[in-house]
Amino acid sequence: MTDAACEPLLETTSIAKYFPLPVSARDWLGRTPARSIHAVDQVSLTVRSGETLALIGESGSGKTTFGWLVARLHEPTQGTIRFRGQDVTHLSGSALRAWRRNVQIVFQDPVGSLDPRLRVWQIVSEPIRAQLPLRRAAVRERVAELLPQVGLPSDCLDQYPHEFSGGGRQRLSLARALSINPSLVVLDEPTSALDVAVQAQVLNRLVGLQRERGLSYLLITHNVATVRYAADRVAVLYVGQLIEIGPVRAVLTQPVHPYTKALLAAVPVPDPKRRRARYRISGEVPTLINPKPGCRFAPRCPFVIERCRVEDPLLRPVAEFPDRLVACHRAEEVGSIPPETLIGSGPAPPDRPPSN
Amino acid sequence: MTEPVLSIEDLSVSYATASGSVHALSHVSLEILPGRVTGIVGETGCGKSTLAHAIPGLLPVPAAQVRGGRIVYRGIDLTKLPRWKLPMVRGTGIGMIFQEPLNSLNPAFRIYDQVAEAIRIRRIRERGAGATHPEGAPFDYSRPESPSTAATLTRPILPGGAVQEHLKTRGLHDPSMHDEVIEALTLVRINDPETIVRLYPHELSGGMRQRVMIAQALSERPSLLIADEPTSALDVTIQAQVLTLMKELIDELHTSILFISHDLGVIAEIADDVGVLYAGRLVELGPVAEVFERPRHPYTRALLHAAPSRFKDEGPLDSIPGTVPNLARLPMGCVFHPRCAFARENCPADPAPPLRPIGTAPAGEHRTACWHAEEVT
Amino acid sequence: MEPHPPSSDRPGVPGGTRSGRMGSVARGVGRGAATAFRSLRTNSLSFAGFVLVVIFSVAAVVIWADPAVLPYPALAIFTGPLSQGPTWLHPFGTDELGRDIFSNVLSALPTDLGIGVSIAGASLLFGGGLGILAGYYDRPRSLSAVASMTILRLTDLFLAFPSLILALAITVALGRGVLPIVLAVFLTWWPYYVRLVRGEVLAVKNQPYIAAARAAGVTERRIVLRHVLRNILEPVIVYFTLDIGTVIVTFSTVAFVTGGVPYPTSPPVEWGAMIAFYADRVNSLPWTVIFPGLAIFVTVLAFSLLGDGLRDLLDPRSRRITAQAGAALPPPTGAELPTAEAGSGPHAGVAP
Repeated sequence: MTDAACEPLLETTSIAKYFPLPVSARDWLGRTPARSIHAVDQVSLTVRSGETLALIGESGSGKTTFGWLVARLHEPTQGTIRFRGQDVTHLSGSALRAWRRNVQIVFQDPVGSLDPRLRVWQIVSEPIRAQLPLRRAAVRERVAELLPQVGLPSDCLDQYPHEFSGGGRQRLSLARALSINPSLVVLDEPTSALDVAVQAQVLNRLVGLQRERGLSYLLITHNVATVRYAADRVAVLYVGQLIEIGPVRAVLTQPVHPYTKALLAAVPVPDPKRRRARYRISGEVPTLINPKPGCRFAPRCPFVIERCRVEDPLLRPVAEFPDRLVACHRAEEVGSIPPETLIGSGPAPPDRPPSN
Repeated sequence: MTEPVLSIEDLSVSYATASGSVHALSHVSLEILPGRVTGIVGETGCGKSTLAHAIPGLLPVPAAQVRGGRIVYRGIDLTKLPRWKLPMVRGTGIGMIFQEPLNSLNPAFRIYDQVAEAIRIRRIRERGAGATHPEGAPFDYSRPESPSTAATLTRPILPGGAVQEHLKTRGLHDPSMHDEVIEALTLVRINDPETIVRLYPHELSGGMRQRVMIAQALSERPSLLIADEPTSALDVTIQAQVLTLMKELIDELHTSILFISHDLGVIAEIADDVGVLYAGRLVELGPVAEVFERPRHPYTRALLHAAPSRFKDEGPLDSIPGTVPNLARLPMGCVFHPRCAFARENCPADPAPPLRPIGTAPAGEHRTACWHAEEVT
Repeated sequence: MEPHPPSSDRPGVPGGTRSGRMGSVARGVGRGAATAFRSLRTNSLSFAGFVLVVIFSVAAVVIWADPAVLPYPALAIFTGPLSQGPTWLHPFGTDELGRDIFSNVLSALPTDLGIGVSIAGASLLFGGGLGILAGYYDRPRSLSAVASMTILRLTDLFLAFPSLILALAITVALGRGVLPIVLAVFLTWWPYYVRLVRGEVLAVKNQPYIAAARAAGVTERRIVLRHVLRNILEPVIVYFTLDIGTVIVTFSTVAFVTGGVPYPTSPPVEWGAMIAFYADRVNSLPWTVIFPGLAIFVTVLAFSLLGDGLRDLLDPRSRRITAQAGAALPPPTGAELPTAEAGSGPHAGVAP
C-alpha cells in the first residue's frame, strides 16, 4: 500500500440513525415516551483512499443503513460525515447532487435497483446524465466503453434488465456506479444474490477494477468469505454498533470480540473433515427498539460477566493486537481464545432464558 | 444391504414454456438410505427445487410434467399415484421444510394450530395403520418396511368408523394435543413453548420460525424429510444454531433427510452423501467426504475451487467461465463441456456421459458422469 | 449457450431473435408500432378489442367531420316506413315517426366516444396529477405534506358520496344539456384517479431504483418524470382504457335518468338519451331500445378487451417466459431469455 492509502477519504464520527416508530393510541394515552429503532448507533470509522473496508454483520446489524448514510440517502440522526476533510453531513440541494459523483452505491437487490422500463444504456448512464451535460451519442459511447470493464458485452445497450441473469444485473449495477468515476463505491451485498461460481467472477472483477482505478470500497456484507477475499480492513457490526475493527487477516484469524468469534465459528466450511460437532452460541439477536444499556451481545455471550450487562463497552485499542479496536470489557482476557472453542464437541450450553 | 427409503429412478421433469420444453431434470437416479442425510447441491436453476417438489407431487401441473422415471417410496411409485391420494404421502410419510418459513406457515393461525395440525394428521394416519395391525403396534417411522404402509397411503383419509374419533381429535381443548405440541416444540429446543404457542408466525424471528417448521415436520413423524434450503434465509449464527439442532435431531430420531442447498459448506456440515446437480443432471454422487476431498467431475471441482477461501493478496479466485446453460437449449453431449477445462473433442460429440463408479470408495459408492474423470484430480 | 450468440439475426445485438428484433426495431425510439401490433395480435380477444376501438374511433371521426356519410340525417323523421323492424334499408329499424335508428345510433358515436375519452382523460390528468403530488411529496413536517393531506381529505370527501347519486344531483343543479352532465360525471370521477395514482406512486417510490437514481444525483423532479411516471403508466393506462367504457355507461345512465340530453328534439344524439326516450316502447318497438343498448355494450367491451391487451403489451417484463417464481416453480434462470453475460474478464477460467 502506498502512502496515499493512509489518507482518510471518508470519516464518520459517532454517526447514528434512529427510525422513530409510529406512536400508537395506546402509547399516546399511556404517555409512553416515543420509541425508535436504533439502526445505527454511534459508529465512528474511516475509509482510507484506495482500500476496501468491509462492514460485516448479520441482518439487523445496521450495515445497510450505514451504507445509505454514507451515500447520503438517509439523513443521520446525529454525528458527522466528512469526505476528504470536508463536512458533508448537511449538504443539500444542488451541492449534494454535485457531491454525489464522489460516492456511488451498488444496491443489495440487483433486480429492484434497476428500473425495469429503462434500457441498459439509460440505466448505466444515469449518473453521467445527471452530472454532465453530454449528448446522447456521447453518453452511449461512454456506456459502450464501460460495459466491457465490468464483463458485459458492449453491444447490449438497448436491452432491458430483465434479459440479464443475476450476475449480469449486478454487473449493470456496478457499471452504473462506476460510470461517473467515483472515488468511493458503497457495495451493499454485491454478491449475496449470486451463485458461488458467478460470485467469484464478480469478486475478481471488483478487485481488478479497484487496482485499475484506485477505487475505495465500502463493502457491506454478511458473508465472511467475501470479506476475506475482497477486504483490506474489516469492521464488525452487531445490532447497530461497531464492536471490532482491524486488518482483515488479523481479524479473521485472531478475532478478539466474542461476537466476531461466534460469527467466524458459525461459517460452514466446505470441508467434511472440519465438520463441526456443535455450535455453542444460542439465543436470538436482540431488538433494535430502544436497546437497554450494557453490551448488546451479553445475552448470547459465553464469556459474559456482570459488568457486561450494565455498562456499555467502549471501542478501544487492545494492547496485544495492534491496529485493532474492540468494544469488549474482557478483550484482554478472551482475546486469545480461538473461535473453534465455540464449536467444541462438548455438550451445548443450555439455552439461556430470553433476555428479560 | 439396507433397502432405500426412497429411490428415484431415471427421473425426468420438464416445464412447458412459451419457448418450448425446458428440461428441469434429466435422468436423475438417486437412492436415499434409511437414517442417512443425502445432500443435493447445485446453482440456481440446476433443478434442485424441482427435485424437492417432484417427490411429494408438489410440482405445478400442468406446466411441469414428469417425462419419465419413477419415484419409489416403500414399494409404490409416487409418480403414478392419483392426485387425491398424494396428501396422504405428503406430511405423513414424507415431510417438507421450506426455505422461507414465513411463507410456509399460515399467517392466520397461531403456532399451536400449526403444530397441532401436523399432529392431527399423524394421528389420523396412525389410526389407519392401527386398523391393519390387530395387535395395535404403534406406527414406527424408523422402520422402513412396515407392511401396512402401502395400504395406509392408499386408504381414504377417514377409515370406517373413525369419524367420531376424528371429530374428537379436532377439539381444540384436547389436553393430550396440547402436551404433544409443547413436546414437539421442546424437541426443537424452543425456550418457553407455552408462550410461543400463543404467538403468530410473524411475531417470531426467522430462526424461531424455522424451528417451528422443523417441529411441525417432525411431529408428523416422517420417515423421509425433504429440506429445501432450510437455512438459506437465516443469518449465519442462527443458521449454525439450526444446523446444530438438525444434527442432534438426526442422531436422536434417525430420520432420513434429503437436504437441498446451494451452500457447499452447509452440505459438508450436515450431509452423509452428496449429489451434485448441474443443468438438471446429476453429475456426481457419493459419500460427502469422498466427493468434497476427491471430486471427480470437473464441475464439482470448479465449484469447490470457486468458494472464496483466500485473501486478496493471494491471487484471484478461480471461477467457472461462462454461465449456466439455458435449459431450453442445452449443449450437445455433456452439458458442462462448454465451460469445462477438461473437455475434449468427444465431449460434445458423444451422448451425455452416464454416472459411473470411480475412485477408491467401496462398491461403486462414488459415481461421476464424466468421460475423463480419471484425469480430474 | 455462448456468451455472444453469433446467430443473432442482426449483428451486434446479443440474444436470439426475440430480443434482437426488439433491440433494433426500437433503437432509441421506444418499441416500434409494428412490434406492439405483433404482440397485441398474439391474444385474439384483445386484438378484437383493438380492432373494434380503431373502427369506432375512425367511424366517429368520419361521422363528426361529415355527418352526410350517415344513410339518413340524424333526428330526421319520415325517412322510411314507420315503426318498422330491421330491414336492409333500415338495419336497426325505425321508430313510430320513421326516424332511422341506425343513423341515430351512429350519429351518437362521436358524442359518446368523445365524452368517454374526455371525461376519463380530464380525470386522469387532474386526479392523476394530484395523485402524484399526494403520493410522492409526503415528507413529514413539510409544506408538501400539508398539501398532500389536503388533497387526500378532499378526495375522501368526494368518495364518501355514492358517485352516481352525486352526479345526478349535480346535473339537476346545473340544468339540462350535455355539458352539465359531462361536468357532473367529471366531478365525481377524478377522485378515483387520485387514489389509483397515489397508490401506484407509493408502491414505486420505495423501489430501490428510485434510491439508485437519487444516489446518482438525479433531481427529484426528474425522478418523478423519468422513473415514477414511467413505472406507474402501465397500470394507469390500463385502468384508463377500461374506464372509458365505464364513463360511457355512467354518462348514459345519468342522461337516461335526468333526461338531460334532449333526444330527439335537438342534437346531439346520445345512446343513454335514446334508450330513455324509447324505454316505454320496449315491448312494441324493441329494436329502438336494443340497438342503442348494444352500442353501449359493444363499446364498453371493446375498451375492456383492449385494456387487458395493453396490460400485457406495456410491461417489458411480461415477455418473460416463466411465470413469477412460485413456491414450486423452478428458479427463472433456466428459462430466462438470452443472457448477456460474458466471461469474467481477465480472471476468467478455471485454474488447472
